[in-house]
Amino acid sequence: MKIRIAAVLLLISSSLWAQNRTLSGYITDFETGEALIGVNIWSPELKLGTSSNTYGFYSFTLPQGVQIIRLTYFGYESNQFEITLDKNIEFDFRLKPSNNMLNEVDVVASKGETIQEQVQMSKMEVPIKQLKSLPAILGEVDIMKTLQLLPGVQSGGEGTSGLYVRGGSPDQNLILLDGVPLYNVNHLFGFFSVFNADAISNVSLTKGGFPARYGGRLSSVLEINMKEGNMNEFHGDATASIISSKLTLEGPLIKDKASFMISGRRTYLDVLARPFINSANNNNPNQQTSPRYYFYDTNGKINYKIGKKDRVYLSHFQGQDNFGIKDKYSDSTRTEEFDFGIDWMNSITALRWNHQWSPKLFSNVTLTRSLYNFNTRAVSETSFLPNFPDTTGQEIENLAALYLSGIEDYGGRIDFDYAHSPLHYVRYGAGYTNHKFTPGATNLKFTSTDFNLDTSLGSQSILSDEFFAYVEDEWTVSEKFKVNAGLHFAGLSVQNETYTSLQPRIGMNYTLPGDIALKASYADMMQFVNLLTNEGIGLPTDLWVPSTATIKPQTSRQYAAGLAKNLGAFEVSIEGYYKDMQNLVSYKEGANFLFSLNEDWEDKITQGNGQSYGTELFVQKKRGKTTGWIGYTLAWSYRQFDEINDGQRYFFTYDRRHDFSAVLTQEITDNIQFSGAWVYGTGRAITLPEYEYISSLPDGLSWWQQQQVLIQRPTDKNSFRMSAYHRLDLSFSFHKKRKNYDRWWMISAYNAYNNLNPFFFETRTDGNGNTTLREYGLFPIIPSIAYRIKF
Amino acid sequence: MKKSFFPLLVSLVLFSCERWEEGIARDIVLPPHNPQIAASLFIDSMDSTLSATISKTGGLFDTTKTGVIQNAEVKLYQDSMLLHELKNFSVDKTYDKFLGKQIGVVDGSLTLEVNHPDFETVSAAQSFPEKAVFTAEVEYGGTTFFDETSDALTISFSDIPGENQHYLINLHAHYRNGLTGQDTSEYFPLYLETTNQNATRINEGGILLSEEGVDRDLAIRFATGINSINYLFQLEYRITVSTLSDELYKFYQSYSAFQNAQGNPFAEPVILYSNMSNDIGCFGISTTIRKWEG
Repeated sequence: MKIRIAAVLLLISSSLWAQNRTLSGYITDFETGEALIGVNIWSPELKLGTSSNTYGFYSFTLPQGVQIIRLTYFGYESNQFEITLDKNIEFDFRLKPSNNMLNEVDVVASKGETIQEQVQMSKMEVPIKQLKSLPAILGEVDIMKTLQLLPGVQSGGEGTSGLYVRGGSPDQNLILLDGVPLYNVNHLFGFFSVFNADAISNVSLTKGGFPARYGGRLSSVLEINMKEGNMNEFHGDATASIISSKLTLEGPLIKDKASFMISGRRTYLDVLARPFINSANNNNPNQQTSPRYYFYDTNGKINYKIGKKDRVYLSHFQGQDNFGIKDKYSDSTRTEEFDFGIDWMNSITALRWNHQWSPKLFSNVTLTRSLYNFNTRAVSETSFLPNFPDTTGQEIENLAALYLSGIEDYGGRIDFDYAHSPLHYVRYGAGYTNHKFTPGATNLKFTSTDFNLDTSLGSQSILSDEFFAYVEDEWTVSEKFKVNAGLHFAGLSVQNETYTSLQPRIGMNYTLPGDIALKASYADMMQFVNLLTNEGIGLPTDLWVPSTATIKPQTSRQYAAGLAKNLGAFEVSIEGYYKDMQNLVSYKEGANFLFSLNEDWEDKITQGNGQSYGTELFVQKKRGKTTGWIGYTLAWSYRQFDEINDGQRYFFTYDRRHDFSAVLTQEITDNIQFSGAWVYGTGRAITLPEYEYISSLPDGLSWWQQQQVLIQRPTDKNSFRMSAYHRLDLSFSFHKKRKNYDRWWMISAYNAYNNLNPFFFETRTDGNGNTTLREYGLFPIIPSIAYRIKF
Repeated sequence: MKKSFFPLLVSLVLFSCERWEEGIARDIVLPPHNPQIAASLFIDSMDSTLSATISKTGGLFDTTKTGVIQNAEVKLYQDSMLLHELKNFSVDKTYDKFLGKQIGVVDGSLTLEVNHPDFETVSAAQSFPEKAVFTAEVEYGGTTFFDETSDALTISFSDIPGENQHYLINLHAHYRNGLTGQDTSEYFPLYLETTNQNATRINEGGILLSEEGVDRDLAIRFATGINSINYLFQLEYRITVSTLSDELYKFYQSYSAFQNAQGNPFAEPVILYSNMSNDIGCFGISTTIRKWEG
């Protein structure tokens, strides 16, 4: 019966718009020719609107006749014009960037782009122009650190750039760079993310109310798009800071037809530190120690317009961190060399093809490859020289241990956008990914004069096939009521087991009197990959592991509701959410990824449930000389595993009761800009032994017939709170326009008032046997200066 | 606006400098620990002495120290009737009661209650689990142990429907004099090798085996590490199977994980299992049966 009513409504709505004409085309930047994502196209008379998709394509069907169309986009001049729609029209818009954001105040009151008009809730768009105006630390505006300033999004604490969204863990975030999943976003042990803001054009984060086109993760979808490259002119952008430099070049390959963008970044801590290390080593010629650390990343993209209706994109990203220490000792009898290193590497490639089938139908085909490797190695070589005692000639002993883990994906997907009518915008598509997981294998090699060993221990690779299909409809039921409803089907085939799930999704927006939007959403999600994280430390030693025949996929249900309202230059929203998660993965008590390399990783983990709920308040000012936002989250997040904490529910380690952020950008003069960000969060919940007692043991448990043992115990799992985290970042930017280029001096301070944000704990016992607990910070105030030129 | 920035910055710099002196570390002051009773008593049906350890908890970061406490009343009730009082405070600093014979399997619910004038009373209740019903079969030279021929021992347990059965299995080699055939009375504990996925090895070589909440017949096969052919007529195996209460099984598992995690910064923290009313200590019961094979 319900299906019939829906069909009749669809028929009625179609017939009402029988004399329609479609305006379609691409929206690009006037200066660069790059596609603009999410431009609002609005008919003030009909109170209907749409927006450009990820490729800048729009399709807007309106009744035949003269229509007024308004285009608005953050950081660009608004456009309003009249158009006679007596036939289907294809028209490409080119929007001019606005140098003065005050220009946009006149369109603030207009509908179409306001927060209360969007059906999608729990979505945060961060225009790259706004992002670049935020505090630049060591010359870098870090995308992940900026996202951590949004309500509902938390950082893991000092030294991490992972996102903890609405009580979820970092593996529950689908991070897409040009549509390709990226598995590790950390550089420099989390101080920087892998995203180079100079190579990025758009960032959007969806925390809940997921439309059906999204799937594969429980907590959020972070979409990041690389720049396409300037279609009209050659340009460059270079920044040098005290620890790294970066360079971005872009320009046309064939004017108005093909363009490129290439960007690279590298740290030079290793180079800068070398003279100091050499000087230290000169004091002891027998012993040479050389620590090293560097990271680099490169982004590249080429796009080519094959014709009016076809366009292809090839994008690539690669980033690597290399950390290690080399120690060499030599004397007249022997030479000993020891090299320890950790390195991790991400690489993604995407090939995309857009095709416009008709003014209403647009498709995109994407082929992807994503690779993430994490390696630890320890190599030792000892050469015994002939005058070493009991040595007849030169003998060499070689020992190498290599620990490897990683994940490699090959995938493809096809997505369609069908603008059926102004009342219905339909999206559908399907995709497939082949995963190859290497959850952790150890290679041991030993060679000497009389003994050789070469063996592999640990887990074998696991192959899995993930597939999905979806359909969703954004339906304008009435002027006051809009719905986005859809279904997402997902499946995984692994180890002769197949998991499938049909996930309903719905989001609604009802306009209350006073232009206040009441929004609500529901989303079922399923996830087939898991990140095994050690709660004690925050190294990239975390392992990506798949769902298997015994490890069930993670699932969640999220309910959210909220109010949104535009108040002049301010956007205000308040949202509440409840998220129920099943089959979460955790290490068992006492388990670790080291020292038990021959064990199967599946034996070390256990599955359980989680709940999180909270309220988020967000007030944002996007326009004017003073911009910024205030975000506050009041939240609770729990976990319950039968094999952890005796099955009792406990606080998730990143349960954060209060999370507050304030971000301010102030144009002091036309050439001087100030920005600041202050963040406060309740301390992390950890398990800390707080008392001890003496216990006897039952038969068989003690070593050496020990009858009584000393037990140290916490009050409860995650019952201890680290000190609250708070930090202020400040940045000044001094701009000058030269004849052939623009230049900026950027002076900034990370953790400006030098707060000690705890990173780890240590217990110390003095001579009287008194033990104290001491917490250590990682980053004190870090002042920096950077120089940037753009030409 | 411009004028207000610079005083603000100067104050901030001064404030940062002041904080710089504090360094990157600070001591955390925790609220003082409130000492409580920590009671542990483990009873097996073959025990002829009951022995409990009663200590007080001590804060790790204050001046309250742990230690065994005296003058505690340690009582064991059988269905609310006093069964034993552990009065003898031994040189090992345990509260003991000498029974003179094995306690055997006591019917009903046993409650441990510990009173001390300085602390709140703590208690926990337990029942003796059913004796294991099992058969054992030895295949002489039936397998290998570290590449050497070894006997294989298979133990098959009968399920008790509705009971979540947990077993602790120990194996000893018992030798007779090769010339006289007389009993040497010597029992050597054997290190058992098994590929059974449900088995967990504990410190002294015993194996824990559990139904893990699923009613079923269990079986386990070991390599004993001994090839009996070399000891014809001289050797027999003593199989000791203790059925553990749920709580005692959890304590075994928990303590094994706790011990493995000691001193390992990469290990997940372990909170030692407790079934006492104040969540500190443990009262556990097991029922043991022995068989000889060979």
